[in-house]
Amino acid sequence: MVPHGIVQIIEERCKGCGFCVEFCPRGVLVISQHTNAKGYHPPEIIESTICADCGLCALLCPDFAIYVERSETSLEKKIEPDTRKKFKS
Amino acid sequence: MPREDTINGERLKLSGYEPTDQSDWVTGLHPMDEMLRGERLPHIWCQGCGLGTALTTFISALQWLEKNQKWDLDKVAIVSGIGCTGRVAGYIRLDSFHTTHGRAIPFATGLKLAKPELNVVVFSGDGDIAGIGGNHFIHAARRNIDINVICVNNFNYGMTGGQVGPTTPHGARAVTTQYGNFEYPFNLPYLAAAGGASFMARWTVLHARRLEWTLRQAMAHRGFSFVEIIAPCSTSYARWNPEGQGLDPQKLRRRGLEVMKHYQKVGKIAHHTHPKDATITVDGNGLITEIIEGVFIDDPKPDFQAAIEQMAHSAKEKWIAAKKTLDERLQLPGRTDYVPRTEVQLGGFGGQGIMSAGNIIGQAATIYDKLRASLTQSYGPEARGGAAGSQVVIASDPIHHPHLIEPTSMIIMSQEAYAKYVVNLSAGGILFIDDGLVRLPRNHRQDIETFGISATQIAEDLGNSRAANTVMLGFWTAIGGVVSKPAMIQSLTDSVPPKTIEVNLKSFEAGYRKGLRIKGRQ
Amino acid sequence: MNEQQGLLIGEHFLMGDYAAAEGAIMAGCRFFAGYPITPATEIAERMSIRLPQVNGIYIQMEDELASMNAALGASWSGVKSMTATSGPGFSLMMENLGLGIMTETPCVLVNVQRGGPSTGLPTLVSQQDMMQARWGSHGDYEIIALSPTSPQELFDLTIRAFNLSEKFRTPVLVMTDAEVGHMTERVAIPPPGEVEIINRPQVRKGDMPPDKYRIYQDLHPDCGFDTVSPMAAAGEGYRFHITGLTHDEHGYPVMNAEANEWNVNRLMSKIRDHRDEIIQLEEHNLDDAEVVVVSYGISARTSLWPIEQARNDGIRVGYLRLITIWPFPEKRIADLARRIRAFVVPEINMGQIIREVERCAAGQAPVFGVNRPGGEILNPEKVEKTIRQAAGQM
Repeated sequence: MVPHGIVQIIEERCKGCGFCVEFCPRGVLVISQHTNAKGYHPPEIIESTICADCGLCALLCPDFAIYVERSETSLEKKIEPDTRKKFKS
Repeated sequence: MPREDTINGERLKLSGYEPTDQSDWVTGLHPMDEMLRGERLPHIWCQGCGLGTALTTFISALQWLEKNQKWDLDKVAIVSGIGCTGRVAGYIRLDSFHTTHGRAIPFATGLKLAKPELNVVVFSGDGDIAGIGGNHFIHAARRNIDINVICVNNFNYGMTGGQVGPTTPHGARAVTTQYGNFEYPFNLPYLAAAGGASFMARWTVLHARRLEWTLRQAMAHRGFSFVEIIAPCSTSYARWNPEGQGLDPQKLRRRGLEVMKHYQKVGKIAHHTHPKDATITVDGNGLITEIIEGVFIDDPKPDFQAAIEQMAHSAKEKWIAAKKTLDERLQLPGRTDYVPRTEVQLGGFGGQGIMSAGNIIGQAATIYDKLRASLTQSYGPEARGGAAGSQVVIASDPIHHPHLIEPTSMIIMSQEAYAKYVVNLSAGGILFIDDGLVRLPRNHRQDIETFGISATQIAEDLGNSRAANTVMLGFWTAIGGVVSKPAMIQSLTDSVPPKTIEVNLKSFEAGYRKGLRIKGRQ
Repeated sequence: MNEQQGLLIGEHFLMGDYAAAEGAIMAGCRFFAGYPITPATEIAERMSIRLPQVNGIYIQMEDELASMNAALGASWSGVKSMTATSGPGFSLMMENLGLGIMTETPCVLVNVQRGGPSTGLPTLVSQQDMMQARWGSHGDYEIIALSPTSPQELFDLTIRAFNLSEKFRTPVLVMTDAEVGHMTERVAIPPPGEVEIINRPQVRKGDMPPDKYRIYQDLHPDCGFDTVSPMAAAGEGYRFHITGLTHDEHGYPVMNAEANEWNVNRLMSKIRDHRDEIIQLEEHNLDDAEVVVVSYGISARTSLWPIEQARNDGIRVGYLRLITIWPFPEKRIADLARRIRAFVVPEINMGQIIREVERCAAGQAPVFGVNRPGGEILNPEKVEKTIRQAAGQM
């Protein structure tokens, strides 16, 4: 059974370098039209079902802005900017 | 209440310094956030720079080692130098040390040697490791010290704006080689191999998965391991060179990506290639046409931690023996009579034991006769043959001036020393010479007493020519020595190698008896 | 065999360099990184023989840059560490001495001064690095530097240097020279119980929650640490960060003027505020002195005899020896300057510490130097002549 992953994108962290979109073996992602607060175009999922959870996008991403979860463990969820949890210890 | 203080008059409030948190980075969202210092992010690296990816693969390797090899990440320490890569230490949640430019490796060496249980990683750039820090790099490889060096090579000094570096390909452009780099670059794995490293590999950040596997291997490797990570410098190097499509406006915003795509074309995986063949090939105008990647050497040599432990064992045995002789030293009552400042000059050539003779006198005077003594030496760079002199000042009172002012006795064992020193002997002083080696000239001073003994000859006859100085000491002690014989005997026994104590005592006695005979006749 | 038994104790006829090494070991130093250089090599030799006997590490690095950094690295593994060098190496160590100061890393650097400049006079004495000791690294900072007159004092001051470096979490210099370093005299070493050894305030695994730990806690008296904040070692789970960059209490880089002001004031005040404790002087006959000889190290020792001669001739000469060179005893000189006729400052250089004496005398009393570059200890007659000149007799 080909593993299936859910791609999670943290848009505010993305700097629009394009690594994830370019090197995703399945073409799950495209550069989005909208921009984050810094004016970068984060990736966008165009075909969520074909993600094989290879994790290359997460490994290549220089800004810890994308990761993949094994599909049966989590539903697709959009990370809203306002779900903020400050780091303060 | 913060403390007031005045620094050159100006009142200053020394408040604690807790910066307001400017970070808009919300942490805890990404599985790797636990390994990051959220309060310090986003990091400074440019869009498309490979450093973020290098750090990601490193964290991924650490998390794998923690999960699968039960690594305690509290025991991992990361040391980095100065430059874009130097900032890695500041972003990763480990004991991290951001040292000076080029000096991460020696710092890491000290860290590791002082606490071997640490897994010490040096994470720095091409300029830091192979430029200013090159000497430390090859020596660490030579030592095969158990640290892991990760060198992110983006072919230039990125942080300072893209100057040429030790790895910039021949013909490539950089801010300071805008007509093409006329120099030739290092092949870093080959340099590490030549140094003696026992593990070396190279990957571009494009091969992130393979890089992560290699980092696991490198971290677990015992001995010096070196991993070169080729990463795009999207702002400087990629602007000056065709890999980043140069100034092509469309690609302006994603030069890093263009370089990554270029790596896809030119990367060639060739495990176990000999490092000298693991080259980065360039064409006529410095465009990279091939990058050999892979794990080139992985043959663990024993690092020297075991050797250190073994050495400590034999060192302690030696100490126990030495301490025993020290503890068994004879305690002599020492002298109670007042001894005014008395100066002795010893002279000869290197190898005659002039220094050790002075030491024997000084030790006898202080440790056994309980007087004060200062021994000073004067010698040239030559260990053998050159002029050698040692001076001993002996007194009951503190010795303020350690050099000779009016030497009252001299022990001279070479013609050169005679010529150099006899003129300083105070009138009425006593000159002791090895008359087998020193011939008195016609104008020899008549205002001093001179006693000769063929010390070297006597010592040879007794079976050890190196004991000639001991014969002189016996001779000196009998006639004019200010130090008692028992003290000299004890000091001599302490100072000579145990196997030669017997011949040295005999030599001392021979000199002493001759001295007594001469003194008897006076 | 436990480490205590590895300590050398009792009376020994010991070369100064060897005494420095034994003092370091008595003080708890268990790491030495060095590079051979006359006249300091004997310290390294002794350490290479003795450290393995007390579970310590000796490593000969590839150069002085590496030696200084290895010593700093070892300190951050919680081990008392040291390096030793002479002029040329001292110059190479400047940048990373600054790293040690900025990161507040305890370690000891012994400089056995030799004739300079450049390769100079490797086997002969000088005191020509005294200003480099104070101002050699770049930027504003304070430094602690001690200067011995004999192998016995070199032993004692090396221990004191370690204690000060541990207490104030800063590198400390022992500024000795080829004369004292290569001189052999009696050195009495007390058993460990009788020697005061200070260890850095340390935070070990589990002492406090890691995220509560501040590696550069500020120096409020109420923060419980009278001099410096406790120092965690690598591998204890505090995951701290240190950097040579201007930083905040967490050790994180902060690139602005305010942080630098806090940083630099912290580094300087931790020494300036404790000057009275750090500064050690040896004083004779200062109460009625008309001329005061101010000196340090070997030059102070060789001035004692001319001072005696001058006193025998009725000149009221006082003796002020700086055991601690830096921080400089500004107040003591200023007080004396108001009531004495003149200062005499003998030193084996062309006039370095004399500048500090002049600065602090602030014109209240003339200052006469007795100077010669490197190569030979000061000629007693020259010192005596200058004392008479200062007393207005010449």
